[in-house]
Amino acid sequence: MRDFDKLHNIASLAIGELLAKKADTALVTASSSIKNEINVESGVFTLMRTVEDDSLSLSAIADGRKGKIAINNFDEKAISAAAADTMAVAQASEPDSAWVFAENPGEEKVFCEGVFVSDNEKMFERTKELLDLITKEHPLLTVNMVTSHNFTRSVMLGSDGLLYKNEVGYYDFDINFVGKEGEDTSSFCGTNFSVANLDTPFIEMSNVRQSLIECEEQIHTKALPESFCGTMLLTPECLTEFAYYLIENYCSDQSVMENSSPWLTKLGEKLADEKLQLSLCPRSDFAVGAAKYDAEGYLAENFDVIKDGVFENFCISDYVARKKGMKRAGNKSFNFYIKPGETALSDIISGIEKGVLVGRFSGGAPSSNGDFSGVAKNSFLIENGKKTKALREVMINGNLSKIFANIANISKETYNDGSVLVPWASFDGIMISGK
Amino acid sequence: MLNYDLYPYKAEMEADASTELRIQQNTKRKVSMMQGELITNIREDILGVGCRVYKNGLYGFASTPDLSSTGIKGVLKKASQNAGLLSSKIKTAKPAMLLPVGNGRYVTDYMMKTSDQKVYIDALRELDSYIIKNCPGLLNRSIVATEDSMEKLLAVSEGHDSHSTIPRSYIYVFMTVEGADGSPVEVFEPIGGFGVFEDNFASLDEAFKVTDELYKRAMDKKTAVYAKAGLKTCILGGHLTGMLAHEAVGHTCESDLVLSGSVAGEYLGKEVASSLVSMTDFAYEAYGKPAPLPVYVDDEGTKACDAKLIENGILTGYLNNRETAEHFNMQPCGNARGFMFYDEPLIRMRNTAVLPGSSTLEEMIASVDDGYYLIGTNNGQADSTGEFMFGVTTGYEIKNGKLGNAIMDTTISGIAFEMLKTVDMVGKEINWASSGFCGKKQWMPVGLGGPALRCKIMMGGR
Repeated sequence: MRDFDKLHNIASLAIGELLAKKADTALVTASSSIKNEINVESGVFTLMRTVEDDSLSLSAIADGRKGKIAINNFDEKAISAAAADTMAVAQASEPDSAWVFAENPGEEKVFCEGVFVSDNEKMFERTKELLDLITKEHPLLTVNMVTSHNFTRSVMLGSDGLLYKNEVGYYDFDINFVGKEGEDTSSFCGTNFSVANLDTPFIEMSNVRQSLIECEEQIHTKALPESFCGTMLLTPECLTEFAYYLIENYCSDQSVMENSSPWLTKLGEKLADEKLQLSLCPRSDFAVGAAKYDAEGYLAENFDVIKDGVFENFCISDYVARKKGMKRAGNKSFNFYIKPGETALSDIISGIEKGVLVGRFSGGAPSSNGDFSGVAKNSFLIENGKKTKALREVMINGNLSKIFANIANISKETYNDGSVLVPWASFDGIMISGK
Repeated sequence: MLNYDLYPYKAEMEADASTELRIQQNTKRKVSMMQGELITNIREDILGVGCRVYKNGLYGFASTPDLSSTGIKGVLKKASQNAGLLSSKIKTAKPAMLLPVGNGRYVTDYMMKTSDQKVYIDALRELDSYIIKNCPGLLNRSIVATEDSMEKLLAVSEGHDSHSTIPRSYIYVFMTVEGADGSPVEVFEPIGGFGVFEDNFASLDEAFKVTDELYKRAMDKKTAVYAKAGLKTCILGGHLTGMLAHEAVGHTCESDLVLSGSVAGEYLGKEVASSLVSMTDFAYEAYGKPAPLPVYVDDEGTKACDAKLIENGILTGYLNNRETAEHFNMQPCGNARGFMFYDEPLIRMRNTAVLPGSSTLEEMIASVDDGYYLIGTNNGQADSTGEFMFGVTTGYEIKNGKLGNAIMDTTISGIAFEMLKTVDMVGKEINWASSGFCGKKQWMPVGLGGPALRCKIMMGGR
């Protein structure tokens, strides 16, 4: 694992090569990383993995033409060849004044976060602790787990002297499981989270405990012999997915560049329910290991996409912002923060006459106009205020902008997986189709 | 081409372990143009060595980008240490070494080539000009040129050593038009397949032809109607059949998912489809032609062969690695592959397809009084229950045996082993696709295909 000085030297070498080859401006990132990982498959430990890698990303702009190359070799000859390739890529492209790198902020920035050395013993213990608990308390479930520690050290260097140093180390945990009893099988269930330390047993993290219970409830499912218009209650994981689709369809680089976003001319208008605040917050405490700057060198800042229902900001890159004469987004993350409401989840459920609680959405990407259609996975019927039977083969259909414009309720409880902090949310008027 | 000699390191592999040593390079080229503006222009080359050791029933893996002798010996040692570390904590009754698969050596005859970035950019400029000239009335046009490849050098303690290459290249064309209600509607199509860009796109004639067909679909979609939700009689086009084979059956038949509880575990030897349906995961050749993404030896050193999954409606096999093949008393067919040098081999599909039957597409459409002909898809997902979902991006109503209005984007779903029993017509011609990636802890390029199928399927809609 290379230290900052070595990475700085490599980045400097690359910058020098690019400038010598006639780049006007250049931006280079040199990184070294190491991952230690433990795998459990079908309830047994199977694999221990140690992965080391280097990464060198070279970007250059010459006469307004931009090229970008990525390699994983720090050898001087390889750097020189990559610099030549970067310039060839740039020269093959077309001049575009919208390609710009971030300016040197005037001082070196250093970011350090988390634990840098993997505690493999503790990783193993925590994984085994959870596996033993599942074996004992949830014998109908078969479990796959991946526990890893990831450490990356990187230096970003600009030809104008921009210098960022970043060290980040954290643990990732990913678990998926299937419940089986007799001939009946549940859907894939699972969850994941990122943490800076292993102080807390995994069963208490994120929604691990609840996911295990609900998976068992999902083994014996019933088809829905009808279609109706009702309430869709999204779990936080599912709400995160819909928020992602909302951004992709209405606020993203692609939707703006293509002029396909229905919100192109609606900045500052109230387009969503006033209960909704949707923000992207990589600089908040809940976001573990989040990016502190983007590939063009812009420092990350939290920002609101929607606040009190008002559309505040597009989620666009500097390039698209310059092309369209718009404002660049504060960051390029998907570290969602959705402001919780004031109603307890139990009260939201008891207020639903007929609907579905959706654990996971399995569907094609919504169409350009926001229409979505997909399968409500890990779902439960809600009737007269109670969660009743586990469902299979149920489809939900609606429109993204319409549902976010008319949110029935937002829970006060939230879910934090180290990447997002989001509540539950319910939406009325959804087409729910059974077989 | 990669030019490293791994074979001397076989002498350093432990006698009481199964070892795979793999040097692998992945390349990626991508150029994209939107409304004539070049918005993506990147190249990526990632090279390194990974080693996996199986010892006393447990695996250790290590990798590094350092291809010196020190680096290679280092991963051999670290992988063994990792296996040892696990076995110091876990006792398993699994076999001490992996199932023997016989020795041999395979060397590809495909020479990898590198193109200058200008080649991709010039091709897109030419195609963009064609679209401007021949496709009036579009709200938006986007075209993407991609090329990605995996080149692998493999040395194993027991099994087949190999030097393999899988390059593929595509041009994607996206068109957006204004729909009947003023909202944008999109169509897209990938063009290309196995081979580097300069081979597949020496001429753009095929790209022009596909663009013309796509433009017609875009114009049809201007007056698209919403599909009606519910259980419908559908003719699935070949690409959708391929997606079905991959998502709805293939994944549930991957042995690791079977061991994790997938529904296929209950159905081996049982009827899962109508007798008209047979399905195979092809290794490198199908019906006398190369399969879309041929695999000759997998990353465990197993010589690849076809894996039959369904024969005349009966589930006859799973997809295995060496360990699960022994567990299930099946023959391993070469399904264990890793995507990058730092990825361990996982059970993956290769070229999964429903086998062709005897009906023509015209006969199949004419047989439907009220249903849909579904052609294009943008993604699909599988589930342990056998429930599947595909996004449908191109489709048409069928009314009284004739094609009607185009339909808006929708989703279809069902339980695979129930839906397949409703298949009562199977088309004569097989259509292949190979442009996407399969996601399962790692990405992997895969081929999939099939003929048209007549079946009953759940439609999302209004």
